[in-house]
Amino acid sequence: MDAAIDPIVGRYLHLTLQGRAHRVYFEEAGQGIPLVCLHTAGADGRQFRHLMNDPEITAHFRLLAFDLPWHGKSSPPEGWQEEEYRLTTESYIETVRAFCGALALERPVVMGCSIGGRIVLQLAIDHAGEFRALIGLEAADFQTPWYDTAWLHRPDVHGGEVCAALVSGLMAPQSPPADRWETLWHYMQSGPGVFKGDLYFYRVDADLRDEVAKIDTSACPLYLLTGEYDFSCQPEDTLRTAERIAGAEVVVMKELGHFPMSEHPAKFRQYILPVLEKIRAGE
Amino acid sequence: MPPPTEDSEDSVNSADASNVSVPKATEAEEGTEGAEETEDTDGTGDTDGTGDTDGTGEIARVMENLPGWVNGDAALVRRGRFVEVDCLIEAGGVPFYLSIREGRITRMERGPALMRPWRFCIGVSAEGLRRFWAPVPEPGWHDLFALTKRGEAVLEGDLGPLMANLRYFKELLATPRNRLNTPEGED
Repeated sequence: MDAAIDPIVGRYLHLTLQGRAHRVYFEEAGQGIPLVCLHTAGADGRQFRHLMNDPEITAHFRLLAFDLPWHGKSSPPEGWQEEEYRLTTESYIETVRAFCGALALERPVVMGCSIGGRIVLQLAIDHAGEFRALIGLEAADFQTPWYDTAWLHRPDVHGGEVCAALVSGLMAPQSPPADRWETLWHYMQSGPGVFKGDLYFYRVDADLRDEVAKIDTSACPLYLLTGEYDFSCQPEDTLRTAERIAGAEVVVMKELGHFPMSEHPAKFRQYILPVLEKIRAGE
Repeated sequence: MPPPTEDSEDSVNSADASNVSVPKATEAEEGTEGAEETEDTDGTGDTDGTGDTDGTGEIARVMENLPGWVNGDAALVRRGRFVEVDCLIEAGGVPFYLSIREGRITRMERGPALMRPWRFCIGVSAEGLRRFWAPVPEPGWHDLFALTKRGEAVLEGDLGPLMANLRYFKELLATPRNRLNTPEGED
């Protein structure tokens, strides 16, 4: 057989979260140190497919990316039709830890982008001992909102179209069009109100400005990488955050924006490979 | 800026949508006041009579190409096929009143004009537009919402039609970036 098949396998994991049964979809590739990848708000684990197809990474790391409940191929829990979806710090932390626990991942690395980057900071504050290293992409303890999320979920505006149109500007103009538009397609496919529900966590429930100084990087190394074209989590937001965390390593990535792993995979690997190498060296 | 109002079908000029002229508001409507385009006779750099000497005249000249560029972009027109709105673009302080029907700019008038109704306004500073239209814009100057976040642009009025067609309007506003940097004859 000479068919071109990605070395990525997708499966469903049954978890009880917030006391309710969930069927969580995840993909994985590679062998070695577990590396759990957390997607951005309103998207899903496909954002990490390029890393999962990178032999230099999968030779040493077992990458796993789950779709948060309500996202991608992870359905909402039974009874969802009567609810307004809202991600909270508590539910997000529970989901990450339950996923790692269910798969018995031994001190995994967690790398999250945007809301995933914010929750990485929360993991560093409260659960550093459980992780080998933490990587925040487009991560900060707080950032100034730049639009009204009420526009994301209403019957007279197409949610997928407006979500994609809003986040389109967060990518760098140098990023290849095919990768930019694939990134936006994920936003166009998101369920109604899901992006808005994720941003509840981001904007209302996770202001960490008074918390990040507690992070002990000797217990768990912390790496923060932010694209220069990200005007949502601006480089200065990440730099300000890093200044409050002794030992945090911070990199501002040139010609990248808010979705580095999916908007320009070739450029992003130049930044992430040295970080992964340091983590390996720390073994 | 005047307050936003509902669209009035009476304001539509059904001129050939593929080749729309840009009348001055003073020429188009009695009872309005507007700027006559003039030469820079006093050496101040004020070539458009607006009193601006910071290059807004050049921005206004770019804007006057917008109807032809937009209407000539079949994909953009298709994306905007449900857009039916009268809106205002303030480009470096110079108001342009746009009537858009089925994704085509059917009329564009340069103001100012007294009591001209519009549904929403996109206002961008002169510096904001110059840097936004650069071939490779710098970080923080590369997107409409990057400009609003840094205070170089404002969105006002009834934003419903804008948000329902956000990709269309963002691409409309970015059209000069592509057209100004495309050698003649290659588009």
